[in-house]
Amino acid sequence: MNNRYIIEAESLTKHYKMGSEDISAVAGVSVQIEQGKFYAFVGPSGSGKSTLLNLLGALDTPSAGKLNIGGEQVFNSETNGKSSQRNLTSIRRKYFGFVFQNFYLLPTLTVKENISLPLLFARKKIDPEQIDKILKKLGLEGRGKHLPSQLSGGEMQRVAIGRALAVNPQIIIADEPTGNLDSKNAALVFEVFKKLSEEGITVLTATHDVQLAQNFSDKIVRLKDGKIVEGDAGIC
Amino acid sequence: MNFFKLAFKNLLRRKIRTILTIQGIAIAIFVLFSLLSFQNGYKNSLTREMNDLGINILAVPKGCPYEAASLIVHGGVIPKYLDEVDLKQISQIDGIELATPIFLSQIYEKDQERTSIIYGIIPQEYTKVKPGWKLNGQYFNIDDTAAIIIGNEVAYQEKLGVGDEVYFPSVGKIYKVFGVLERTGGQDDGFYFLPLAEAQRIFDKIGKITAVAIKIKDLTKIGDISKKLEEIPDIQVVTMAQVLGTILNLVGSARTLIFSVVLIALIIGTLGIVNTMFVTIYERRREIGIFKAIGAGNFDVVKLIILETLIIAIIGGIEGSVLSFAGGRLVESFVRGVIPYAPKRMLFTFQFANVGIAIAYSVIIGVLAAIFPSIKAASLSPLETIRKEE
Repeated sequence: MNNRYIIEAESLTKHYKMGSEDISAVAGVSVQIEQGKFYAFVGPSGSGKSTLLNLLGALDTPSAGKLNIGGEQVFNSETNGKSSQRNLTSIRRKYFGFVFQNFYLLPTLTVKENISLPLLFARKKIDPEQIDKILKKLGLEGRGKHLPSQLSGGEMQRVAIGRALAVNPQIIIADEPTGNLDSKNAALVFEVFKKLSEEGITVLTATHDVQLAQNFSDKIVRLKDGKIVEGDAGIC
Repeated sequence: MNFFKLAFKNLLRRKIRTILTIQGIAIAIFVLFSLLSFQNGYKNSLTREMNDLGINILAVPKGCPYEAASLIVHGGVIPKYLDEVDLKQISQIDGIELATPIFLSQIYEKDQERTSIIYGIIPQEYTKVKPGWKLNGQYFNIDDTAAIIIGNEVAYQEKLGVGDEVYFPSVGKIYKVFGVLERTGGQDDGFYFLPLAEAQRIFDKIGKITAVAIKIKDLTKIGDISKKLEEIPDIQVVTMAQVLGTILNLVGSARTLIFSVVLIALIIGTLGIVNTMFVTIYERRREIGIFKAIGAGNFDVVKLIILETLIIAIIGGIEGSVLSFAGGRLVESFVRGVIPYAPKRMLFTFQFANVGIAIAYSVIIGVLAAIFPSIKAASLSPLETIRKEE
């Protein structure tokens, strides 16, 4: 495996049992994710893009295949190498920031408190200047003391991105981050991702919006029925 | 931002449930705290009351000695009597410092719906078994027929003072108040004291005695003296230590019953909190999943849930302690109605140690109630919880 890639997945598979039926949500996907690039995973509902992002983000464990993150082996079905839950937590803390479709901000915490939450869990000192910088970068100056209920959808998603940025992650995983936003706010969010990737942060996002993906991402990965369907190594 | 602040703000999101859970704990602690206060206060109060009595042995007519002794202590009437021959025999026993007769009865004024408890005594003797008595005014002589001494509570209730007159319509006689007892804090505050012969006369029981109060020279000889007293055919003896023990046993049985009920209430309360925490965690699976996705480890989740539960438990504990302090009088009046014998002094004594016990108990409840839900929460997979919610 190569140092150029922050994530390397080989024949990654994820099966689910649904009653007596065995569903392959991800079926032998191999991808190599370059550091500092903005990847968009596109495809119809049920194509496996969210499942793949969850596997690549150490939120879920594969059924088979190999997965390395930052050169660390997270999963290898051949050697039965599988990280424990504790290791997955530590890998998530070390590399990732997550952004979800429904924002998932804590309603009783202010914008600043929501952003600093991952620092609390990472046992890192909360630096108010750093939080202010994140707010500025996301165009949320003056919103620090507001509660999520006082923000628009686009602002809430930017706070969620700020929360992901608080721990200086190397990779941001954003699953359908624009699913609940209008096109203007959706474009704003993708613009932020683009800027972050230019600063060296790897961004992996799943989206239905091919147009947005084409306008902002460096690479598009098309998925169908749990498989990559287009391009060299699935990447175009 | 710290874990405490996060836990506190989380609780604010479910204000009504949090408040109700706190009230559940507060009530449990209130009951526990009240029982602890009662346990200390009742025993101290009763022991002091018995000590104030100044009597080592009470000789009563044969029958039901402990009941008779209890009745005599708080002014009840027993239908059997001793006579002066018995008194003479008692007085002749070696080791007895003093044996003074008591005649006890009640006057019921139908028109006024008032019961007056009358104690017939020989004051020059009786004051020796009541060394704590302080009198405003003077004691009557044994042969006085129109003199009376009244307890402090009687003086207050009837607005009487030294020199005033007391009229008992059913007796048809006026008595002059020779003295008013200073507050004793015991049953004597509610009694009227007449010369023995006058009390026997108005109830038409000349020569009859309700009991003989005995003070002995050496307390270590109480067993031997009791045996000699029991050789007298008409009497039974009750030592005040026995009375105290009997009452404490009776109250102990009532207390055991109350403790059992309280224990069940506390167990139900604790299970209620566990249930609340489980329901809360079920509802918060997504949030816990998000916490884990943004870097929270299992320990962080456990810590957060335990902190939240502890905040609830400690606030409930403090509220319960304050409630028991403020509502102690109310509970006391209820308890007085249900226990077999209640001393006049405060039954509930406030002790800071009890606050400590109550808070410690609420913390234990909190931790116990949080352990299983927090482990359950920590075991949730971040992805599973997020996916289920979506």
